[in-house]
Amino acid sequence: MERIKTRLGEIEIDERDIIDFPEGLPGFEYLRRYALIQDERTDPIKWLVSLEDENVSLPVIDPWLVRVDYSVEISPADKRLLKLEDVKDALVLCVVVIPKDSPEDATVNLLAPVIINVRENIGEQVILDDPNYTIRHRIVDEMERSRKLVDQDVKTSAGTESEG
Amino acid sequence: MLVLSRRANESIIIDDKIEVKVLKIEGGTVKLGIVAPQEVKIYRKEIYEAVREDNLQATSATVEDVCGLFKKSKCKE
Repeated sequence: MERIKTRLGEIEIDERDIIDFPEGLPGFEYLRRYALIQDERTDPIKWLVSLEDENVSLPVIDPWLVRVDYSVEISPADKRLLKLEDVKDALVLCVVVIPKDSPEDATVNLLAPVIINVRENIGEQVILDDPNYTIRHRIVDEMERSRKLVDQDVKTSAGTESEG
Repeated sequence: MLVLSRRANESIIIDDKIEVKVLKIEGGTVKLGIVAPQEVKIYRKEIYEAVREDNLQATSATVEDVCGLFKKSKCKE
């Protein structure tokens, strides 16, 4: 067990929960060791917390909560770095930016998801080659879009049922 | 910085395994073709910089900021 100070307060980290980012994260290339922290006050947002710099904690979210039809293709180079043999071991999270004076304008980075190989505890922030995604999707707009998509789906399947 | 002049259809080779070829020069744009092993990562620099900028901004968030985002009652406890 390791006690570390973070922006969320002091937390205890088990050695087994330490995630290694061999290349760091863009902006924090020199920081390698992180932990993924759940805080019920901020659920569904989790925190990627640096174990080496107490000022670095990134709020992250499951991208499918924001964009139901999100898709990620992990390149062979990234799979290699992550030692990822089975994509089922990949945990995908996206970084959230919350403007201080207007949280309703919070954005999520769908272009550069953080991928964690949960079997090996190796992480990397990859940059996708996908024109559908950008670094700043407004969360409110994405959720509205997702709601419409789900509604459409429900209507379509309901229609099929009544016909059948 | 090493500076080399190249014309269209000329290449450079880096470390015996990465080839960067000038395919087309048109107006203010140079179109490059890159042949590299799968494990080599290639990004447009401005995208990497933008991700960097986004991460730096993200990390200023506090628990209170996130509470403002989802307006969860748990935050008031």
